[in-house]
Amino acid sequence: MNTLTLTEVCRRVSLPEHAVIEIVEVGIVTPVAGSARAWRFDDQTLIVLSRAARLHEDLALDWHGVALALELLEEIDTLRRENEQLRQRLNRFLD
Amino acid sequence: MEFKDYYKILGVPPEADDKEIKAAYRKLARKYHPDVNADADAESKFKEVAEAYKVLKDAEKRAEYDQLRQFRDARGGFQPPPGWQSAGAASGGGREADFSDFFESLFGGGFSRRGGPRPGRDLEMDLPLFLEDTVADTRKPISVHGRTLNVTIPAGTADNERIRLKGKGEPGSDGAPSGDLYLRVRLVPHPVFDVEGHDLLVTVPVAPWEAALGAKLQVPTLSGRISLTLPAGSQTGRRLRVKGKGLAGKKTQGDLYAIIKIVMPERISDRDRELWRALAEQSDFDPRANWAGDGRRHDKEPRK
Repeated sequence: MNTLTLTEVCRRVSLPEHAVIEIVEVGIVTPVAGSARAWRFDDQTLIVLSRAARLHEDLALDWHGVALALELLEEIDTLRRENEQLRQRLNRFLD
Repeated sequence: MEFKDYYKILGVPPEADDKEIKAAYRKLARKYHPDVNADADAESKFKEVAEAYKVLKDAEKRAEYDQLRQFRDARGGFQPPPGWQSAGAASGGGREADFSDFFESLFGGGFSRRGGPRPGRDLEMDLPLFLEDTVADTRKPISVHGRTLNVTIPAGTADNERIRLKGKGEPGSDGAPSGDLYLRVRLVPHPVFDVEGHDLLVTVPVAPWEAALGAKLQVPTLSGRISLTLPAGSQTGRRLRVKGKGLAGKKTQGDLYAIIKIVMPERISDRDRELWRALAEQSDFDPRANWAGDGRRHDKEPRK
């Protein structure tokens, strides 16, 4: 698996280092290895960071707010899909 | 050119103060942000709202916009007055792709990022996938920004998994590297099978006498039909497990469960009715013996 350094991650998502450090601190993304400036991130982190950066910027949320929004959005997505699947299974019994 | 009424887009009166404008923008942004709202038209709606806010939150831009607003015609069209030049439009700036032609004609490159190479953004999109496509490595054509990519989906790809295509995101400017494209796998509902983790579920209709006496059932799998033994005395909802016939995982192989559904014939012949009647007269089965709905008290624990 490819991993990225903190500097590489910052460049890829156009965020300053202190912002990425704060994002890690509030638990939006978790480095796969290393500590502080020697962190390594997997490449799936980038898409989460980009999404976090957009929500931070466009909705004027602080990083704690972004963390909460992302968690809730993920949960809504999971529940919505689970609901669809259960509804489909139920319909197979009722049809 | 179409005139964009930024006040109308934000739903505020033209005399609204900064606070009102900010509040209106935030409310609409929360509603239409493409990371929050998956509707197809949410993104264009959000861009419109963001563009309106970008102009109206800036006192200088707003003053210019208010001045230009007088030049819109009755049919919603607009032509900037001759010799119009925005005070904020810097020379040499590139075009900001997310903004409308209307915005560009008024403010030109004024809001664009400074020149120089800029890496492309990473993009994410959903990839609808049929269950059958997960059985073996599958090549699928995917259309991104007018380009068609042939993507290999590895066998065992699961719902919600992300596939990263390096360098297939937004192109970078001035020779900077392109972003990546992430495909989020969404398994398409199947006409026959349901998915539970890596397991597949198939609902199998059986006759009441098959459930009572047992039967041999032909059941579909993703790789052809198989024969299953239905034990005598099976209830609706009973699961018969077929090991290894579920979805392939990276490490594990899922199972197939045939779920029994007892169905009645839609029409009953006179002969069938006689047989049912004979059964009814002789059977001592009471399906409601332990049912809470009959008004009697039951000492059984309520079902959790």
